Amino acid sequence: MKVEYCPNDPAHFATNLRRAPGTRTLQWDNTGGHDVILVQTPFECNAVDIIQDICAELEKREDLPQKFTEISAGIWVRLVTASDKAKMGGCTMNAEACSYTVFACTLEEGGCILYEPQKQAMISPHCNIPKEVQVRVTEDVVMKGVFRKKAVPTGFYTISFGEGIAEGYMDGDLVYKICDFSIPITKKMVERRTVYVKTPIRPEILSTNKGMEVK
Amino acid sequence: MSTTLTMQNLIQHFEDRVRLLDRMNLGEATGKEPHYPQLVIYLGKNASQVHEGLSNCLLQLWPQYANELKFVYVDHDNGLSFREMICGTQESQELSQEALQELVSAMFGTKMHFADRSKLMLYYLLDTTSMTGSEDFEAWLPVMRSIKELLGLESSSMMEMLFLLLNENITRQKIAAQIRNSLSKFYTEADFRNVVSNVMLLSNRRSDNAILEDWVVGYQIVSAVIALSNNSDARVTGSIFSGCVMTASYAREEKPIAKIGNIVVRNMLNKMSDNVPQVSTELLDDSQLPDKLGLTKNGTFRMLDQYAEKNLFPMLPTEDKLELFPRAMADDDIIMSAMSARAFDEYTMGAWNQYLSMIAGKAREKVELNSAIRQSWSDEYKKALVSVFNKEEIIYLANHISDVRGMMRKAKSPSQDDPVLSCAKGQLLYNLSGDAKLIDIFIEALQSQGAVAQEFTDVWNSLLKSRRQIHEVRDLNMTTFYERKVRDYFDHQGMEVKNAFLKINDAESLIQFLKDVINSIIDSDESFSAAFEEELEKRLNEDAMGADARKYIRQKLTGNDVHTYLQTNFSLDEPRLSAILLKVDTPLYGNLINNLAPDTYYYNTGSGSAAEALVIYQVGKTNLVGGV
Repeated sequence: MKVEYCPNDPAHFATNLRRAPGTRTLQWDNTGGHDVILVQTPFECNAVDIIQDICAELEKREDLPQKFTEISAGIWVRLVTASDKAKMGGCTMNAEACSYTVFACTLEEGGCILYEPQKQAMISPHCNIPKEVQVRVTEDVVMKGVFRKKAVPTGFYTISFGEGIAEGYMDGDLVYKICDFSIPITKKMVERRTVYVKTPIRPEILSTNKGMEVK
Repeated sequence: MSTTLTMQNLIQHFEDRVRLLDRMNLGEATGKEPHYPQLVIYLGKNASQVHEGLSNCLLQLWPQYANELKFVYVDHDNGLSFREMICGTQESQELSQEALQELVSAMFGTKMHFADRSKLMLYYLLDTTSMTGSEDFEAWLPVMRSIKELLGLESSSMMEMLFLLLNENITRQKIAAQIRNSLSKFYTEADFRNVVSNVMLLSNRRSDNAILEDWVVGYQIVSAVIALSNNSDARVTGSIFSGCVMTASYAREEKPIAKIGNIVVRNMLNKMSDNVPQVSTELLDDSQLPDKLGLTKNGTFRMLDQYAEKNLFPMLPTEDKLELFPRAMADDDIIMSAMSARAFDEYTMGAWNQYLSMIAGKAREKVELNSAIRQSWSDEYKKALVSVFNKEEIIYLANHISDVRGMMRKAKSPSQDDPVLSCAKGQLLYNLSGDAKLIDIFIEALQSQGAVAQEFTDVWNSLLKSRRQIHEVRDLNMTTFYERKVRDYFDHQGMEVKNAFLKINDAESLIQFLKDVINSIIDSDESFSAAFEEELEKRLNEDAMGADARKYIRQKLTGNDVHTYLQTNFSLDEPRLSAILLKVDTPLYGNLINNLAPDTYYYNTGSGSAAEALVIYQVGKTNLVGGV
């Protein structure tokens, strides 16, 4: 597919990207009846800065994906047609703890044209979507004694992940640290909700993703 | 930046080098120096075109006066305008009238080295080539008068001479005759003589009717007359500044440096062109290629492996730390370090492989942020490339970069069935060598080296082609003599030169290398730096001609083939001055002293690279006037 990136054109604009309050929907303003491309990038990474790489990856494809598709590590793209936007009132986010950028686009036979967003102070084609995650670390114990009232440590700590973390989670977004040794937390671990670590020292949970805050 | 090199450039280097050696061989004894401050004034654009040649001639005589010899170009198209011309080049810079006065005034300063500051030698140069009639010539007389007034020197403080370069081409004979008629007024009109009291008339039509294509001999005569006239010897200056129109016969014998350079450079290039290796078209199929590209048997990059061993292996966990990896169950009975890599990764829900990826990722980030590491890898890789591939192979690889990239991305993943820790190192190496951004550092280094090698090859090929643009020297004695000198040099130094040549990778180094080889050839045989008569003697003896070089030179300088640079209707009078310009106290000097007329004047140039003979004649009115 041929992909062309053109300078800003007021006749083809898309901007004011935002999250509809209390929802998982992205909304934006664009030229009436026109299509857009949403690009999901790692948190605080502006797609405009890496648009040449994005275009190069898109050119390897036959068409623009109609749902969020990872075209290179951490970069997801989807086409939102004017009718999709009208039907959905925007577009559902693929994940949180990441950033999105909207580009106006026109589809042509065998390719598409993306338009450089306008630089404005008050409204932006780019937005960061932070995410708060709940992770609990507890010492694993077994109840012992005559009435099983005495909690005895097993030598393990449990790490429990709150609901919804797995959605859009990428391996290594979180790590646990014991002294100076950091071990990445994978999506599999998050999906499992509870994992065990054999250690006498309480693991510390840290985020490596600026858009993900641990509560 | 594109680099060009031609055979002519190398011949020029040869000439410069030999002249430099000639100059260095002078020792402490220099030749005569200019006695008075002097100013050369080019009247009009045509005259200024001889500046580079004339100033170089004077610089060869008086190299230590490079900053003290002054040259000014004057034009009168839109009022008087002046430009100072830079010695040895055609470059010039604008000069106001005040600046001209200051320039002349500074020539009398204490920072200058002229022995006598009582006079200014003022030399005008005028070329008649573009003149359309005698009025164009006469239009310059008021200009010369204005210049004298501008300089404000008393006539007793100034010695002046007009060098008139008379163009007498077939199509310009009528105009030339008008100018000669006009010049004859020198003898009848005092006003003319008040403007300029001495005229040296040099025609491009010699006494033997030959018409010269350029003014090379013209400015050589001007240079010789300037040298003789700016002299402490009153007998000589008196003969030259005698208030008349003069002309001169002239001959010059010198070492044929350009011809020798042509033979040496041509033979050197012929010898070296045999050294260029050819590339095999089967290079990509060569089983040794991955190793030469710096890949290990496992397909990982040796340089990245070394980096990993030093910087990443220490980050691998010990057996104890493996216990800290996550588990799905609080199972205390498992010995983590006993697991295979695959089992351990599954058991830890992918945390193990993610951990290894994280280490490799951190290494990549560190390298991306540290341009010094990238540069060092790139430089080291380029060095490694040139040590195992020749230039043609590097160009070939750079032109087949997709194939090379494919080869570089064939690292083998270690067996996941090995114990986790023993597999970990191999996995890290695999991760690192599988990183496209890191591999790009080496790909770019190869491409960059390919571009450098391509430029080298282009320059070399165009240099070899340029041989065809220069005529071969047809003097059998000279070619035989110097071809053997080059052959002798390569018989002794050929292998060393070849090895050094093969190690050169860029065009700039090639140029320097070729110049160094030329210098080395020159240093290898004293014939190259010998004074010109010695060089000729050696060459003639070599040819078993048994000729006497000094007699040969004497005849060249003073024999019947020496021509006067003016054709006249009547015979010229007896010479006003016969002079030889050469290095004194040489065998040639001794020979000339013994064989030429005792009143011949010898001007010590201090340089053994040439000898000149100049005879100055007065041109009377009858030899100036003629039919128009």
